[in-house]
Amino acid sequence: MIEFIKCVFMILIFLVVFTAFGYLGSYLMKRKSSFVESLLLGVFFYFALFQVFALPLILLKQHLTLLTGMWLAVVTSILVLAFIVLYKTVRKQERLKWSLPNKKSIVCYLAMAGVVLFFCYFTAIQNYWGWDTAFYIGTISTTVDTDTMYLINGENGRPETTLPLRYALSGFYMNSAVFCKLTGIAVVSFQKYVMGTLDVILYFAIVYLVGQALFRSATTKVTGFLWTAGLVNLFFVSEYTTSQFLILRAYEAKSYCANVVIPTIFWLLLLLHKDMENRANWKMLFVVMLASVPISMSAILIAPAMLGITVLSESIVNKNGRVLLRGIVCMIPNMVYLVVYLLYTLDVFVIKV
Amino acid sequence: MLETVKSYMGQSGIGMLFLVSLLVILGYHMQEKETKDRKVFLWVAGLGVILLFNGISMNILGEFTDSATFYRFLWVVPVIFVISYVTVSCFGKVKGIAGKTVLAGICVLMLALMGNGYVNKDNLKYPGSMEKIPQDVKTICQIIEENKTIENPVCAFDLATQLMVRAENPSIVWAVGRRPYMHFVQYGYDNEKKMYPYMENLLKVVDSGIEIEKKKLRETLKKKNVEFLVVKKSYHMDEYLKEVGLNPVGESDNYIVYQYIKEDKE
Repeated sequence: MIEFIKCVFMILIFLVVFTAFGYLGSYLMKRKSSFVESLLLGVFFYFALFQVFALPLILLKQHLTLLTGMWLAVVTSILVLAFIVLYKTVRKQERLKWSLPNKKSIVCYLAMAGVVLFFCYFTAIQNYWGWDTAFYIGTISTTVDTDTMYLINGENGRPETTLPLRYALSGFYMNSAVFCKLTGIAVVSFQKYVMGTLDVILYFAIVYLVGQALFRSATTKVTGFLWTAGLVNLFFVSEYTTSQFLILRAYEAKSYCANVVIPTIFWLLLLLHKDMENRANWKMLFVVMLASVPISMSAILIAPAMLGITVLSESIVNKNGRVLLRGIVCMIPNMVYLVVYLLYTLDVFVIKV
Repeated sequence: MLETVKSYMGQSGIGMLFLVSLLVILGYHMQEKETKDRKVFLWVAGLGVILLFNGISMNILGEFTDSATFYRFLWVVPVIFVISYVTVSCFGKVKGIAGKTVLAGICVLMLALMGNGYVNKDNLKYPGSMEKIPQDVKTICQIIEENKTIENPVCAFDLATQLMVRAENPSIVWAVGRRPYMHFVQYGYDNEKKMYPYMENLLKVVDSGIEIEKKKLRETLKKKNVEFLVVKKSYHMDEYLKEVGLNPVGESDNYIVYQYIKEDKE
């Protein structure tokens, strides 16, 4: 029971932290973000910043304890900063305009919340255990147990001879290790309940935002869109679909790639399609691309492929070379990771353990 | 490439629904929108096929990553969004309660034809424990922890136990890795490839309950520094394993844990 309460508490903590990161990030980028947008974009600010601390420590073969201490200090500072900015913003406004949504909207929001809660529950009770599960859960368990990062193979428990950059370039699982160490929550519980539930919430946040973009904020249609998306997910069955990852493997980085990173890129491209000159959205797209590999190594090629094809099409149709140029700039982080990864596969960039 | 798309879309009919939705967008819905929308839509689809979703790109990208994981590129196709968008738009177009009810009926019928999807008896069953690790695995890990002679003992298990064991106790080292395990799952024992002979010996015992030559098993245990073998009770291999030199050190509901102490350690 205590473990369950801890997990629920951690989900709430993460929601607050992500929103604070998103709020502060949006404020710095002069982008007016709604609550849902702040929550979603916060994930990308969070992992982009986490990577700044995690990656050097991983490459320098440092301990998890050091990363935990550093990251705790950073998150605390960001939270304090976000609340100061929020307080100042609220104070600046002469009179706060609080108004309750109308009856119809309340029904719509409740209907949407119902879908999200059902998926949170349904995902939480799944018990998929495959080779990947063994690998990822093993990686976090080994990290917490040995206080080392990627020096011991998480899957089989044997010491590595070189740092496995195929996995070590992404800090996603080290973030879980940090919080397992801090809270004492069992790795399996943390991944399956905390990270899995967050994946579901973030997925439906992006579905909501895409619905808003497509139907120009009509709440009834957005509710219909979210319900239909939920239903289609329940029937999109094969070993490889995004729905399979959302429902059975929600705690994996791959699921975050399929259900959070890629749909967020899609949403931003949709917004940019409507207004190509919106600099704030271009900046956000850059942050999303920057955080895509830290969230999942699967995004190393998928995200730039998706972005490249779309910006090329937009620049051809709009006869605007700047669009392509901005798109290329957004792809730079992934290209850097790709070069490092290729050098690793060619045995040029190898870090001996 | 077509095979990858087929296996990605699965058997449920979502692929067909997606194609129909695309046609609806192209044929009807796009007529209403600005031509720019249609042009971008067609360019994205065209460039997607020319640059990404074709056999050549699949092979090239396979060189960088792994061709078996090419399906992940299909994640960029917004299947769920397209179907949902068309469905909601259709509801918006239909006037009156009667029309909407008929459309809802059609949707329900289509879903019913798709089968159970993920909502089935197995997936609705609540797992035994919060950590979702069976008691058998927990007991096995405890026995190993209490009896191990080195910090990271090498152990062999059947597949179901092996996948969970390091989540419970990360100090345990797998005797048989993923590749050899998958190799024998795919090709079976005594196959023509003649790979991983020691691993084959271990798997025959722990995963299939086959009694191999005692000398061979002893040699494997020594060569691979295996300290523990975890064998199902239902295999009834107690006598055989004792003769090999393995001692039972504990048991869970369904498994017996055997320890092998190398002679030079004694």
